Amino acid sequence: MNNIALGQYVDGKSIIHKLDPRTKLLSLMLLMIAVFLIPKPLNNSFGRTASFIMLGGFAVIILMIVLFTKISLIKYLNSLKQLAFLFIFTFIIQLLTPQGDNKLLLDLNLNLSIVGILIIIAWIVLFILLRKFIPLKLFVFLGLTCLSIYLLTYDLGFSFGSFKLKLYEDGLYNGSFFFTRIFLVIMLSTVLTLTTKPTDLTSAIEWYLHPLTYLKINVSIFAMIISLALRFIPTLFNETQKILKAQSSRGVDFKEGTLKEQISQIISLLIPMLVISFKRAADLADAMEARGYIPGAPRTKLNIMKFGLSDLFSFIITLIIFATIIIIKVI
Amino acid sequence: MGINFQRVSYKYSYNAPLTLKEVSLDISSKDEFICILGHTGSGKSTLVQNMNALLLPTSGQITVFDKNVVKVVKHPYKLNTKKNRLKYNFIDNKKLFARGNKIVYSSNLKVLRKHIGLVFQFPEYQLFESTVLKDVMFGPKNFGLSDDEARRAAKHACNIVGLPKDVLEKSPFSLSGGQMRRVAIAGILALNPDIIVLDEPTVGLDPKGKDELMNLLVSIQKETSKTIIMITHDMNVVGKYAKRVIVMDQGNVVFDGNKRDLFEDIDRLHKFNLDLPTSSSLAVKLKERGLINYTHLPLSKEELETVILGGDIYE
Repeated sequence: MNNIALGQYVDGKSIIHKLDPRTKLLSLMLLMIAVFLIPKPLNNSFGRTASFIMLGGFAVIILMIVLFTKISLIKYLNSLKQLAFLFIFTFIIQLLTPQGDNKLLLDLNLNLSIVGILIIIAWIVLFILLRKFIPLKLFVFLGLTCLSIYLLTYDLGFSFGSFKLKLYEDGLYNGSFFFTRIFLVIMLSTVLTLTTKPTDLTSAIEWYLHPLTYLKINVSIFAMIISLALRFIPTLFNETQKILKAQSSRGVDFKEGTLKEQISQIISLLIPMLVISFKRAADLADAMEARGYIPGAPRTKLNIMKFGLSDLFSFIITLIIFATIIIIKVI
Repeated sequence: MGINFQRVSYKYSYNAPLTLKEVSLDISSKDEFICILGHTGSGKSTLVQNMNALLLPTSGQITVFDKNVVKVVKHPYKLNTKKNRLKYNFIDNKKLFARGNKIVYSSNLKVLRKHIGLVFQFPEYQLFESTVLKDVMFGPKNFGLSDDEARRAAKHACNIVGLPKDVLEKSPFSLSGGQMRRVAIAGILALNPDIIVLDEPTVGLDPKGKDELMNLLVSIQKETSKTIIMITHDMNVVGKYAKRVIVMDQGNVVFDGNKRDLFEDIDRLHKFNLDLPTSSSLAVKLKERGLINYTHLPLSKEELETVILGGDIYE
């Protein structure tokens, strides 16, 4: 409880960890843009193969980067898991969208019959009720979905309408294309968050925003605000735990009670937290002033970012990849 | 009766080291004034939070007022209903064994928290209501008292901690630090717990506020003969008020007994990284120079006075 993960940073000494955060940020951004620039699969087989070869190439590059970080793949999969819904959603939407005239893979005539729909509702209710006992929930759910669709092809009585479910070959290709693309982009951003400390990331962003100072916008203040906010997440988390316990010993049960009770119970947590945050902020402001912090004044840095040889090397590789994609896109 | 720990161990997370190591304790529900000592990280707060079931032990058995606190595993789904949760997590010994000692997921330990009132460190931060009275009433109302009963309990508690009547309708945030702490303590006293546990109650108070608070606790104990358990770093408080002392070191209870036994063995005291109360160290120096003589080491200002005036301390 004392060391909650700030962001997702995992300590390490790999090449990727050691890269200058500025290089890392820009390179990974360029790679992400490059992934997005891969052309959509065309209707002909040549275009299709070309896009998928490019995707495959990127997959290999990204896999190499991931292996270079020497962080266990489980960490990556965990961050992907949170977005699993997005993946599946994109895939299904793409699958069901008809694009031009092309080969039909599946053409089903679905009957919307009252009996059929009742059976499906019963399955869903059963699934939700028995959720805890079911292993591999996702697969069971997918299986149930297929079964429901199959069931709907029959008219079970009291039919009140019908619609056609059509799956096209292109839909399948597009679906898998977008699926892989999001997957790769998220892998790239995960590499960034897993190997870079939030503070390093902030200073990198600060460096890139430096030109804004010519527009009389004070970038260092924003960077300071972000790093302070990051710094205070664990502190406030600990304080919340304390207040939570203190109110629990006064009989608060945050899990049970009527809605009205629950609201008053949450207020008993929120108001103390608000008071504590303001107090902390005021104390911090005093402490910063006492140590001579002047907003906007030039400051020296503890960790000076260095643009080294490995940075140059990795940046050149990124540029080559990026340029290749641009050229392919233009041609 | 009271609190009983049997080989209780606790760790904060799956791969963390043990914060409590097989602690066994027996605390009676009447007439005890226990001070828990030990330096930072020795497991004092963890021990105290286990008494209140804010933390549930990793292993071992805690019994509070003849009822077991049952550590719970999420597994048996059938039993994990609201009704069963209420039944299982704080149940009578007999019932526990009758049911074959099943272990069930818990979330409701309110019943236990009514027996043992825990006042946290810097309790003034837990205040949130618009008036002092409402804030003190918050606890009793959570434990199912009606508005009237809660108000009566709250007024009584405010009276005990010595809050003036005109303060009751003020906002708790307009009060001074010392008064806010009184309000917070009243919030626990209003629950009418059988045992009062305080985590460093005197920290951050001025000497006068400290004395007042300690006198308050002593008078509560005299009137109601409730057991009071407090964590403290202040040896003067220990020397003057404690009846029993528990010393924690790296998750172990290394001493449990009379305060005089603790302070008279100076070598052991230093081994625990503890000091003598100021009056006692003065007495030791005076005795070295042959200025006074005593059979029992004076532990408080009052006892030192008695010794200097030629008297002796009688147990």
